[in-house]
Amino acid sequence: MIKILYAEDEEDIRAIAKIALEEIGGFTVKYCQNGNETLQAIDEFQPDLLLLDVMMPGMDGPATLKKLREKPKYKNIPAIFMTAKIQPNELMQYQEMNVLDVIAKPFDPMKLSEIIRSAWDRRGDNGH
Amino acid sequence: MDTKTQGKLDALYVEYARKLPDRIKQLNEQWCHIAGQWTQEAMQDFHRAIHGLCGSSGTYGYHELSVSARVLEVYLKKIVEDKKITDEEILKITELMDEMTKIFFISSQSRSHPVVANQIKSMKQNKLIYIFQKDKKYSSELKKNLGSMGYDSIVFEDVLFFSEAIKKTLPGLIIVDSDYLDKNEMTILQQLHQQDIPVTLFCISSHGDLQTRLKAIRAGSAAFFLKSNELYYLTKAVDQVCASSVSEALRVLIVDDSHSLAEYYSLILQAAGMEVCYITNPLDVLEALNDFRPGLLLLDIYMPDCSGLELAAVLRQESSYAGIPIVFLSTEDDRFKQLAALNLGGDDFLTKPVLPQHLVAAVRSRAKRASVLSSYMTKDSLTGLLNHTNVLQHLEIELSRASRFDSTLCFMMIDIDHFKLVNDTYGHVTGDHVLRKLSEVLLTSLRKTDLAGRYGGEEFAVILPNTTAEAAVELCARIRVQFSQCVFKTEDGQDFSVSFSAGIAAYPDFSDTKNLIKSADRALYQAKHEGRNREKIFRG
Repeated sequence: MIKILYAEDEEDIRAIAKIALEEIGGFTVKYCQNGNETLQAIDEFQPDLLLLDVMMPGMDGPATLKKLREKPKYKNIPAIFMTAKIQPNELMQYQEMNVLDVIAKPFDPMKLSEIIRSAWDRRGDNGH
Repeated sequence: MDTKTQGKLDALYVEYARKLPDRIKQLNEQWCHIAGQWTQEAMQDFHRAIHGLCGSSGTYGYHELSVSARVLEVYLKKIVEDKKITDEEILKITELMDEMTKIFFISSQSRSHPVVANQIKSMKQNKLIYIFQKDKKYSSELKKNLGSMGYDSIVFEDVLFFSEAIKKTLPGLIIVDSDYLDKNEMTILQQLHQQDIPVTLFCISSHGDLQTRLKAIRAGSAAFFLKSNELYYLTKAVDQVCASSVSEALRVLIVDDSHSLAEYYSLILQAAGMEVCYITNPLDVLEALNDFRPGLLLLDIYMPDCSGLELAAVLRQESSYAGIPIVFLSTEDDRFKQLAALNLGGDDFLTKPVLPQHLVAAVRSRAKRASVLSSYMTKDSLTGLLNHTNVLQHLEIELSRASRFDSTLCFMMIDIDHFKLVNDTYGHVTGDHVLRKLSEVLLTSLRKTDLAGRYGGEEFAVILPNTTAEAAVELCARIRVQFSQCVFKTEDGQDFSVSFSAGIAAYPDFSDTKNLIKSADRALYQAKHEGRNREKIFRG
């Protein structure tokens, strides 16, 4: 079972993602409200995959990932960004951070876990 | 997905919908505060809140709201890091906030989240009908007709029982005789409209004068029927309101060279339950017309390569596209250009920026009128059935479908026995009444996929896809018995009844239209020859 650590500040999105990821997708998920919580939770939870909202108060998704990747232990941890704005220049920026995918918001709760699973299956291609 | 998960999702949707109005209100307050007393932190919070709304509203099915929140968010992002805010920026944000708020209120009225939409859909499949009517003869006839179409109806004569029943179980439809509409009844009916799930109301009356019709409208009636008219029209309308299959989505093709605008319009129309396809290159229009088969075209006027006006002119010259309604969209507000657009075959002209509800209303009304018009062209005016040409066309289509899917099909020819005698003895008015009655019986006893047409004077044709010869014979016998039990009245009050004979031929016994029709005709001849009031099947 794939363990996902998911950081999202919007409560409504977390609620619907909970159903999409756990009930429909069958993943094991731990939820964080921001970047700092993510940094604190990761050692204990030991996730296989990070799912990070790009825009969060305080430390945003990309900053969180950058901080984590500084630690040798999480240097290659697979990650996926979620964002409401996918503009080409931003997308490039994210892909340079070596993430599996950038998922657009709004997402379809029925399809979210499928998208994550196919991104997960691709992780070999990215050198993980 | 199991029902438990669906239930949880539904609960979330409902919860979100419940909180949303407050959230919009808070955002407005938040913005008012910033406009009066700007700080960079407050601005960042506000930006984040709008960003959040954009993501969550889209995920929860409020697409129009999400689109307008996105527009605001993109603007905010540009200025959120600035050290100050200008009056101009405040004005612009206020404008965008107003627009977003307006869109929220409009879209939450016409349609909210998917669960509520589903509730409305299941209401449409509610097959319970309340009839409030004191004329026993009429109501029992109506009940019988509705029953044969699979509807349960309950007749009320007393307003107290009627209002109690409504409180207990909501029907899918209420049919009220407006001749008995008094203050009490009006109040009950008007209250119905304030409910979350509105109930459709039809009014019937023995008078067609304006006063009576106004009374019906004031009670919230969606349709009005004269009691002297054939029940067929009423039952058909009932089917349109209650049956799910009839509410087939309207298909709209958008041609606009701006990607973002085309997408914006698609979102609005999709949110109104339409199926939408858009292209940004006008030269792709013929392909899109063929593939997507739209019921309406939304055309931008100013496009590179080929203007919307030119495109309309081309389409109007092509007979197969001449019937498609065209609505022009443009920033042009020059009256002369608009008139030129209409002259070139446009049906309506919308000036950008278009309010979402105007767009939806214009598209809907144009498409509706076009479908009514096309039904006049394909239908026999007396009976409302398909006319001769269309019977042949449909037989061709159904036959090729049957051969493609390797299924069966039956073609049935029906001829009213001694119809000439009916006409000669009782007069043409009575004769027409008999013809209409037969079409009513046919329409109410056939499945939705079956097709009935008036083939000639007193001859009717029925196409039964996916039906074996045996099933067709059985169905035919049932219809025949039902029709022969109808009692007609002559102008001087005499009762009489009529029978019919029928011939049936089946595919794959006969594999082309010509042979199928010929064989059904022969079987019909045989049925007449053997003494009428019977059906025969022709086996090569």
